[in-house]
Amino acid sequence: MAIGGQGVHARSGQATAVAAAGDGSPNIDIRELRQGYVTDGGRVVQALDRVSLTIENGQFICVVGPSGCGKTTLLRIIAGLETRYEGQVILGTDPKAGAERLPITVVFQQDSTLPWMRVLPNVMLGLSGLKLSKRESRDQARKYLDLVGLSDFVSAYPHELSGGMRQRVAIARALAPEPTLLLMDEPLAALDAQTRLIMQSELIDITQRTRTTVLYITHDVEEAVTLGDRVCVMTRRPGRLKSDIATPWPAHGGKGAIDVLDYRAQPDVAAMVEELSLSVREEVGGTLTRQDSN
Amino acid sequence: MVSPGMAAGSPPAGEPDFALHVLTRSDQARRRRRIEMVALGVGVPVILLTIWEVLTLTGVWDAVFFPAPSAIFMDMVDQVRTSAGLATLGADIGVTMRDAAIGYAIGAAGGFIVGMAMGLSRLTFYGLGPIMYGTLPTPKLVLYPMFIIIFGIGIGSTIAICAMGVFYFVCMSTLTGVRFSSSVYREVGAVFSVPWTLRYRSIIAPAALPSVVTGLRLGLGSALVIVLAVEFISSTNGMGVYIWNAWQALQVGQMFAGLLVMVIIGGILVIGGNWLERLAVPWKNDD
Repeated sequence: MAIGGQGVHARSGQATAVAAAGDGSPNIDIRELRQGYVTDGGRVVQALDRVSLTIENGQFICVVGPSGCGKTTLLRIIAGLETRYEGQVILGTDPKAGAERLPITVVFQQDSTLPWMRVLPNVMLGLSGLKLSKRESRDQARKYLDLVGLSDFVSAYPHELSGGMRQRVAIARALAPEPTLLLMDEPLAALDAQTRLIMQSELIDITQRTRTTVLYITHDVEEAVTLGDRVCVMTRRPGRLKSDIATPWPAHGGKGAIDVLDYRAQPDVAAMVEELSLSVREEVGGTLTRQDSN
Repeated sequence: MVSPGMAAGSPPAGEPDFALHVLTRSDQARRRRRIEMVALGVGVPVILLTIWEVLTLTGVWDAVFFPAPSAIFMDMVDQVRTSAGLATLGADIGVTMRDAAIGYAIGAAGGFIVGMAMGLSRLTFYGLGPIMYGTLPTPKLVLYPMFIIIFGIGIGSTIAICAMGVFYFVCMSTLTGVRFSSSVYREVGAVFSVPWTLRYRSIIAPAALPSVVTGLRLGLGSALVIVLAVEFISSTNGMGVYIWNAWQALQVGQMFAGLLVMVIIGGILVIGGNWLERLAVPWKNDD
């Protein structure tokens, strides 16, 4: 049963389907989300305008849109960091749920590794919300640090690592609790182009292997088409989802079957990137002419 | 092949040789910098003292108020040569340091607690904020007469006024550290449902630490200044008295001896503070 209203996350009463992780079972159902705030000048700014989205377990959904369209607000509402909104966020159950799961974890855009702790304790902090013994926590953290390729750096301090490596620590930390839903807010935006390409490949690989459900925010259309099973385009503020398309991965053997650069070179992929870019550009063009800055 | 830009005597190609070459150049550069540092660090004060000496000897500066450094040095040596002189100096140092230490400890502890409370609790901030920010610009020394009334002249009022000064520094920097340290860390704590004691220990406190340490160091200097000022005015013991009495009696040598002692103590505290800061907050100068 769904509990609606403001600022309440609810668990749906649907029985745990024993289906294999990846299809059909709803992971999260977002309904008619609206959010607004009052600026210092007393003006009301509406950030989200009736956003609705359903994600199935195992899916990787990318949301693209121009800056300021509300995509980060959307992510923060789902993460529970914003509590004042209208509409409903209903979490489903994940068939691969273990005994104790964090429902949702987040990889932030900025570097969110704690600089005063080494890499391993940083990841273990992500597990501190679960009831694990110290040894279990350490083993789990190591397992996911291995997965992101940082097993040689478990005792390093974040300031000894590059930006890309620090984001990998944040990703390991977000994956380690094996959350029902992983939220990522432009995690690769601060990285250089080469690192970004490498990280994209790795993300595909990791999320395929862990079969994690992901909601990924980005302003980079090509990245969205590369990483996602589906891409949603958000309008300029107040944000609404104006399209929701499946990416061409299935036509090329499924996600991760071919190299990221080869995939992008495919004509149908390039065409989709072009089409979606135009769609986003329409929105940006609007922002440049409208007087809606605070 | 020697190419232009490489120093004479550089080794021919080959990877390990190049690495050695880079190492040697780097060592040389570092040694050169250290020599520069020492030479100037010592040389400039020596030159200034020499100028002073000359100015006094030639009569440009009045020898009564600015005796030549050589004369001062002889005077200083006289002070500490006698065991009585040394004992007096030692006792006075002890009194000043004792009062400063106690006042510092009380002020720092109180400042940390109140600063934390104001940083973590919105209501505490609303309640105490106006008082703190309002009285912040007032020199705390102004409150000394009030403390005399409460504690009488003596160690009580000295420690009280010292603690008051330190309190402000530590309280405001702790408050700043808690409130304005990067909020993304606190969001990490929220998103990962980190239990509250762990959140405080591993996120809030360390994030505030650089600012707290700054406040602690500022408070340290402030403690010494306040105790000395109080001793100038109304004490019987301590370095403030030592220096002030010397000045009154125009025992310039003794006065400078006292000043020198305080300068040395100050220097030790600064160096010690740097070292402790690097120990406690090794990540401080990143980003």
